[in-house]
Amino acid sequence: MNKTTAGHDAESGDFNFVEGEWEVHQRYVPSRALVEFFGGLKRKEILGSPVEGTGRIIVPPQDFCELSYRPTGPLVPVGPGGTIRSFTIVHSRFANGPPPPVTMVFVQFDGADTASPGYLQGTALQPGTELELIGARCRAVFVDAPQGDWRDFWFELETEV
Amino acid sequence: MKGEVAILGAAARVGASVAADLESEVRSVVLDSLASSKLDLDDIDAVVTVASDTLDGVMVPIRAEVAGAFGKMPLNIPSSAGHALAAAVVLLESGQARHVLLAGWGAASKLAHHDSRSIQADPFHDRPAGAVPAQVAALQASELLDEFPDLPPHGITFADGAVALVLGSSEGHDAAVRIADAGTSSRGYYPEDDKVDPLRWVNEAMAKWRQQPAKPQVAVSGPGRTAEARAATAFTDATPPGPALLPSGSEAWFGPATALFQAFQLHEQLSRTGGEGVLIDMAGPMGQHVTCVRLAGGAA
Amino acid sequence: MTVPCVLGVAQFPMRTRLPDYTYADLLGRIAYQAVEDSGVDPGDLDGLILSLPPTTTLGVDEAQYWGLAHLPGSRHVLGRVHAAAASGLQAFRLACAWVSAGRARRVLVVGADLADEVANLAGALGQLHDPFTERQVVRNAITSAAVQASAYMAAHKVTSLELASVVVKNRGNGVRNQYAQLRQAVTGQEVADSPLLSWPIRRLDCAPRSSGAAAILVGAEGTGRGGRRTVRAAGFGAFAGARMIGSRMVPGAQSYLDGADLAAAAAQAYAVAGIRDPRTEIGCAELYAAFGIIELLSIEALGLCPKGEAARRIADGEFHADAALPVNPSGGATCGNPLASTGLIRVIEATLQLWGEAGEKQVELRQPTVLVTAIAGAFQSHEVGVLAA
Repeated sequence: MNKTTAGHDAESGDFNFVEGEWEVHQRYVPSRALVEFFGGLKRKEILGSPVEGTGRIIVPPQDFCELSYRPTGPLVPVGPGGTIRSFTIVHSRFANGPPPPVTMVFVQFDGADTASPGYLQGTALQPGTELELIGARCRAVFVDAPQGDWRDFWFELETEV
Repeated sequence: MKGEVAILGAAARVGASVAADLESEVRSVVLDSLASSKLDLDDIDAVVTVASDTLDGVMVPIRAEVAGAFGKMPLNIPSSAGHALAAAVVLLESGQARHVLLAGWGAASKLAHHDSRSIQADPFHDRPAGAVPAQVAALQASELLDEFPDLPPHGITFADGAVALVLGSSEGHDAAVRIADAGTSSRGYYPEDDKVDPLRWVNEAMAKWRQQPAKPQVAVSGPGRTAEARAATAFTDATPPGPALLPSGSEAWFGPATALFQAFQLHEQLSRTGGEGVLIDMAGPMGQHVTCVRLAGGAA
Repeated sequence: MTVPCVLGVAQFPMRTRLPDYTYADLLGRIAYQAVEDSGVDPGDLDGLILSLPPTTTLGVDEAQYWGLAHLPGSRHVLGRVHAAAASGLQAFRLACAWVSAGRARRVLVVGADLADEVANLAGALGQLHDPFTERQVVRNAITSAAVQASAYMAAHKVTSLELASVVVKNRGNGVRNQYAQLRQAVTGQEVADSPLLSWPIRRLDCAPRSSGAAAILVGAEGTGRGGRRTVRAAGFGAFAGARMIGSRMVPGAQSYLDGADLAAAAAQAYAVAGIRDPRTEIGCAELYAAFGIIELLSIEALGLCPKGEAARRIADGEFHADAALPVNPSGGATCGNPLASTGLIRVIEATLQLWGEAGEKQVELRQPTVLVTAIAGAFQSHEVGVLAA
């Protein structure tokens, strides 16, 4: 539904703005590889897609490699351990995000050739030690009843930094 | 660039499968167009895309990898297929690229359920009056039919589609369909001169051509069947009448990229028969952003 | 082939709000100002290109039908270019192609922004992100830049205070820019003490949300008003990047963290412009950087200094307005970043430097060549241009 209504200044009554809303309903259709990936999450598995002819494993999986444009094959397990390639500690409440502070990490799962985003839990970083997260080992930890959604897992460090 | 710009390969899909698996369908037409051009993706140095963020729900220039754009020189022109095709031509003629992949797509069948294009009108005067492209197009058709009652009634069918063209120099490709000329013409949301006859705009665009065609095959894409037929009278009213119109954009409209399908059809036709072709792309609620492209060549 | 040149330019003062103007008003005003600056008759244009990133910020989809009516060249629209924040430079590149190909003689490129007409940019820019993975773990421009900054600090042992040197430089430059939105200098300590948004990115590291407008008239050499040096587009390069930034931050493929994609785009531009050693052949650079870290990565990826050294060199005075190779003497996006206009503003500032018309911002150009960049998405796709006089 798209709506437009005129607005008036509360004091003077002058017309000085128009309010509008723009809703475009979207139904995003996941790729075949992603559907299979979400199925794997329900089984507490992390899966990646191997790119034909290159040996490269992509997480999250895609039906084709965005870099080489080659198709990908049947999904293969990766992780659940991985290495943190970079991170940030979010201190602002962004739309749909969790309450801050929360640590967002990009983790290269063991066996994968890409890094994937996720939240790091269970670690209290001391100020001044933040950068020790880069290169740290971690593993994916699942909720008790995964729904087949990227929010089914988070990361925890294998050892404290 | 030596020679003229030519279409070296082309592929298209129109139908529900495009909405069901957009990325795969775009990739399929890209690969098929490359195969028909006998080029590899490595030979492509620029990718021009035409698609709508609103239809996709994802920002198109950041998803151009679906069209094989990773590592290439990108150019995203969501305003119309005609603008994008003309842009591809000048990229080649200026030497910014040697081979261009032009890809366009859209899953527009959803507009039949809710036409989100109402947001195109200005929010101060037009939108409060209920202006939406569908109504604006209908008003235009109504005026045209008043003056030219033999035109077909207005109508447009929303669809889903994906098209890819590979463009490069005609040198070494004697049988290739060449893009000989391109011209544009435009008006505001409501034409400033209150004249809604698209034939006027088409003639302005064609006046920019270096040469006028004789008896071309004609393909038109516009806001509806009435406006398209009126635009095509630039050629079909000739005595004797020119070749029949190829199926028009309003029969399967999938967003700003629609006219690429008409370009594809012209390419297929001219590749078989040779001769000349004209693509008329009229984008916008009344088709007021016009691009006219003259094609020539193909099999003798 | 015709050599495309800049005939006229105009930019609107950048502000958070421009409540007295509609989008169409802004476009009209800036378009006529650029044409007037060129000395060309407004009726003598044969091309008009609109730089317009996501229209959700504007609330009007496909705004080219509304906004371009009555502009000079409005009967010759050549298209709307949408490449997120790189739209302006990509549109300028397209205009140059039209002129170079001889299919248009005078092409006007315009862009305008009204940033305050939507409550926040989250919805508008949300379409940048993958709906299945990047909305569940909320990635946005700030967290994306923070991820880069963390990696940079770790890789090169750079402190937060050193990281802040680029913002200090740019805010100091912005004081001399009459069009800048932010015109107060800041110290490194003020940057370090500003609210932490996403570690290590602080509020003062970030470009403001800006309204503004800009326009450039492109044409053949000698067809504008006399008395100015000819400024020509000497070369362009571009690199469309990966959608999933995680694919570019692993050992062996980390262009998201080290700028290799930008380096590739620059190599193309340098090759066309005949530049072999950018450190000595470039006189000045106007680089797009919505966050300080982006400018650091850009300086290094463009070959202006070795990797890891940009922050410390800036802290030592290099790349400042009085240095041998000034970077962002206008203050850059740090001091104002209207998204549709920002790519055009880089070209305009470069042109003003080459014309000697940059006023208080004027630097001493060691070489009559200025480098400009623009970025689409989160350091994903890159446009590079070389302007020369």
